[in-house]
Amino acid sequence: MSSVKTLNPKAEVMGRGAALFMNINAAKGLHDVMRSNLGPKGTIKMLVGGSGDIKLTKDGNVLLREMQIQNPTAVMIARTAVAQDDITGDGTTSTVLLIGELMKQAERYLNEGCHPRVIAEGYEHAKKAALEFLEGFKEKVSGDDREIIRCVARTSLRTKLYEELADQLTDIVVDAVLTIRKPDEPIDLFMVELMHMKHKLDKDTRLVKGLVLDHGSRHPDMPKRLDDAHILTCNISLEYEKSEVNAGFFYSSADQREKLVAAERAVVDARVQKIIDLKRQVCKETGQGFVVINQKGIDPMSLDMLAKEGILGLRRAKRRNMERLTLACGGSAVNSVEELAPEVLGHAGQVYEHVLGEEKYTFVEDVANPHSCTILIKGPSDHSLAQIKDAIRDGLRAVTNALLDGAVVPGAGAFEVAAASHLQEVTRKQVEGRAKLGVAAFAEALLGIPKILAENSGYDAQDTIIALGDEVAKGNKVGLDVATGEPLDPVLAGIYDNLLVKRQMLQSAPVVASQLLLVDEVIRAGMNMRKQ
Amino acid sequence: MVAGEVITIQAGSFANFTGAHYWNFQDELLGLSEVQETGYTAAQIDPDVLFTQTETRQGQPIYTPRLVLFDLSGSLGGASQSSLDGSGRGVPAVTTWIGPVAVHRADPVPRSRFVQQLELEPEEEPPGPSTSQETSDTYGAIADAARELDSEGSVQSWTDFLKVRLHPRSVALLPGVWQGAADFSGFGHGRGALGSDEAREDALDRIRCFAEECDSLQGFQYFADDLSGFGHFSYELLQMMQDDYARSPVLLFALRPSLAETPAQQATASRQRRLSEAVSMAYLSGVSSLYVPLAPPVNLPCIRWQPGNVFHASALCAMVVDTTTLPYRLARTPRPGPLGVPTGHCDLHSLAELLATSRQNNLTAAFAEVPCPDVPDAHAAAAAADARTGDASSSAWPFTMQRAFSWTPGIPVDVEERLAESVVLRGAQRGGRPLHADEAAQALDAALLQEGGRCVRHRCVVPQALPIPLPFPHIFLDDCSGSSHGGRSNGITSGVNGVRSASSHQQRPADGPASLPVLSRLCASPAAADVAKTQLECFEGLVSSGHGRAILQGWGYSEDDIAEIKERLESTASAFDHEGDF
Repeated sequence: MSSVKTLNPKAEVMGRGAALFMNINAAKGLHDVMRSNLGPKGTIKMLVGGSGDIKLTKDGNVLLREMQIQNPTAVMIARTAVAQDDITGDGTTSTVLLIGELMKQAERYLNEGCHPRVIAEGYEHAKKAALEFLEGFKEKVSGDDREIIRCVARTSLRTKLYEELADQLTDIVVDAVLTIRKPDEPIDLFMVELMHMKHKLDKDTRLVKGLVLDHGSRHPDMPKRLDDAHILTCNISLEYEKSEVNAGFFYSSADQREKLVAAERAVVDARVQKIIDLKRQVCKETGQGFVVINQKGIDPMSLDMLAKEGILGLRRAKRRNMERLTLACGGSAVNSVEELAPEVLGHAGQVYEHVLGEEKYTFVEDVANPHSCTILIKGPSDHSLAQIKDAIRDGLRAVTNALLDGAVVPGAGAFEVAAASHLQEVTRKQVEGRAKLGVAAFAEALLGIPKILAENSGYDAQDTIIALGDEVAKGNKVGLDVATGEPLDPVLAGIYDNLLVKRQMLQSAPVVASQLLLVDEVIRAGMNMRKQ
Repeated sequence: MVAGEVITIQAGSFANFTGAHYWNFQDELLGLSEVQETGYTAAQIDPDVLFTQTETRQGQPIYTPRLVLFDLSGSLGGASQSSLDGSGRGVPAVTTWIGPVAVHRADPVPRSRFVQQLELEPEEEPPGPSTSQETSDTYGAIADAARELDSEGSVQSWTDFLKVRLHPRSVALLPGVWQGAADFSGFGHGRGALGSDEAREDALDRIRCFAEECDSLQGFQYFADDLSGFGHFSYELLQMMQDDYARSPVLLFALRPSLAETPAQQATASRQRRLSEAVSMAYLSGVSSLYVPLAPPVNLPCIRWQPGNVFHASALCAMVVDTTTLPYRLARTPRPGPLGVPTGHCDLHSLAELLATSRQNNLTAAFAEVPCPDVPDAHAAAAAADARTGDASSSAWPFTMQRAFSWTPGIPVDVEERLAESVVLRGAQRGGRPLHADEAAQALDAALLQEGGRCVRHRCVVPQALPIPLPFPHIFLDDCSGSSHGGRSNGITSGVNGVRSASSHQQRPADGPASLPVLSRLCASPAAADVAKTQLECFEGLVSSGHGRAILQGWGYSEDDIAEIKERLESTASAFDHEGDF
């Protein structure tokens, strides 16, 4: 300790006691901020920034991002929780809370003179046992069991949105994932586009089997609505540009310049003409439409040529939409006019433009066999749109996780109660020596989560835990009914959590807690990296 | 015919400070073009190149910059996003949750008095002469508040002096990276800011939305605070943009608040700065069409500014940026004004082609004279040029060299060899009076001839001087020696066209010039290779030291990255070697 001081007189050194105190306090601090968030009866947080900017969130992940955490311990905990979100899409709040509970329980034993190493050892045992127990506790799901997948989506959505809205979004979320799912391929959630419109009520949110683009045609004469449309998805520049290779135009008279410009222009016109030729080739019957959706630009003259043929041309489409379009409508995206052929075209039953104030939207709908879709979120304000979007994103992840795991875990705190009892009754007896204390602390910490659920719903935490414990002793799987405060069967109520979320939480929380407990010394030397 | 739109991208705090000044200049021009006596000259610069016209929610047309800006969370100071784009404010109703609501309130951050006064000003001038007193009162209050900005510490954020309304899609703050809380002071700290798919998509989408509106996109002008984490951020962003906008040129200004590190800085900070400069050169010059490092020189004649004050430094940078970007912002078919027609319109693509003389090294130096001294009589200049051929030592410096300073570190203003140059002279004056464009052009040609040294040159003469907006630091000296012509030779006109965004034509208080003549030159020179060589040596030295390596590792750069940076620097350093054979 003093040796550091000799090397750098400015260094600050904290001994073990102070370091532990700091770590436990930081964990408790985060725990206190996040605890009221948990569950379907938690609070929504309104964050008012220094400039009066307002953010509304119920999501632990968003909350952590907005808190400007500076305490190094808290940063470490927050990073673990954010990693949890990256991997599983949910469980940020639970992870922070579990770490906080683990630190709190450890503190009790440490105050009685127990060495942190002993607790950490116990946590390690308990972690392994709890993970094993989880494998036995889970319930298998087959990909076709729509009802149970709906339950997973609903459980996730209800923690972020009010019940009616959550229930209405449930089917949208489930259908979206089932649409993009292809047998034997991993699910790519990016194939679900989330598009929002500030409009009407939040209950108008719907699933579009197809695509919604946030731009429209840039030519007044282009059709606003096409039925039975061929879709050409391309990445071909249809605008006049200066030649690529040459360092500029070399000309000696205005006439020569005109000719050069005309020659450049002719190249672009030829490309447009090839597209028009293709249109004439495929649209033999009347009533068939043709749409060009281009990732590059289309200049006014090219638009004009297309408009004269009755072709709808959209320019500067999102890169990701190129992929989505071919998945939704079929066909393939082309990068040069040479590849143009009837086979590359996709098809949509309807393509129409929707104008909302300054914004234009193009709907590509009514497609035969979509593997990409759009959730069109409608809401009255930016805040509600953001809320719904976050919730839907989490819901999509929950459904995907459930399909991926092939299993779910009964929710409403059922796992935590059962695991705690298992640790107390079985594991504690198997572990030898003082590590038993760590196992007991872990079990207590797990009970912290149903306790918070009860508190947030307005019930007495102790009564609830006792009631739940009694039921578990009878061999039932029970969780907490937030509406009545009584034990309930989560399977009957249809409350399911993701296996992945629980597993990840059980893996990371004890590791972080142990690391923090085992800190011997905190040294801050050299420059202060944080500007005060 | 369409304007040939340019999209502006700003990344990082100092870039946004500079950008705020830049947009204030544009706003001033818009104001001037609405007034009859100044309108013709001001309208020769086409606002449609930089601005897009949208409607407010009330259906009024409004000009907003075609701009995407990136900054850290919490960097907007007292301004909320909604106050920048003019959308409504107010406590939102919680419509998605019926449970309890917990409110957490941060301490309010004060906004500058200037912005507050600006908000008080009515949008539309009420008609009738009875209100003229009122208008002048508001104007006075705004002017007072603007003057206050110059006092120490009153500008906390670029939002404190920006008077242009932004597009709702313009402001992008990096989520979770907070100003002050996160370390974002070195080039590599921005690695990972575009790490997630969502962040990437959001950034590209903002640009795409503006690009989708453009009928004939000229290209991008990119203001980068490249020595901060936004350096690497810009590298990643520009790399992604190459896919969609492969043929659109990118004019990149690498903006720095000071030419070199200040001696007072800690050793670590200065090491980090040197590394950032080297990596910026290696990475950013590769993803841009022209790479222009720009920093204000400390000792400028006629200007006294406080080094270290970002409000001052960014104002200086913005003056040069505004002038060098003039050629592609001119109206294609300008209407003649009382001072003639501007000459030298040139689109961004041609400008980039002209100055990018080497594919491996597109570092372009910026030289400027702010304010530009009096333009001599064309005959006198011609005579001086003649005299030079006879007796070089006796002739005076041409006006183009009198107060010229290099704003690009590493390249001196009298660099030996020039390959290509773009010279812009705006608002030229003689004896305190604005000069006709033709006369100014003649004088400029004569002076350039007198300088000697031939290269491919593009010259652009614009009658419109640089209009100085109200919220501008008071850095101009009233009395300026060293000029050879008498009278008001400092080249500063006071109170001639003191018009503030069409609010009224009041006489400007005598504490600052209303407009300035500026001469700027962008120059491609083989000396750029020497800059690269210096950077390479510096980089190699630092990499072999433990400290330097620690910084690079802190940025998350692997051995491969370091090797790649070296390779790129070597390639830029040898860019002009083969030409030595001539």
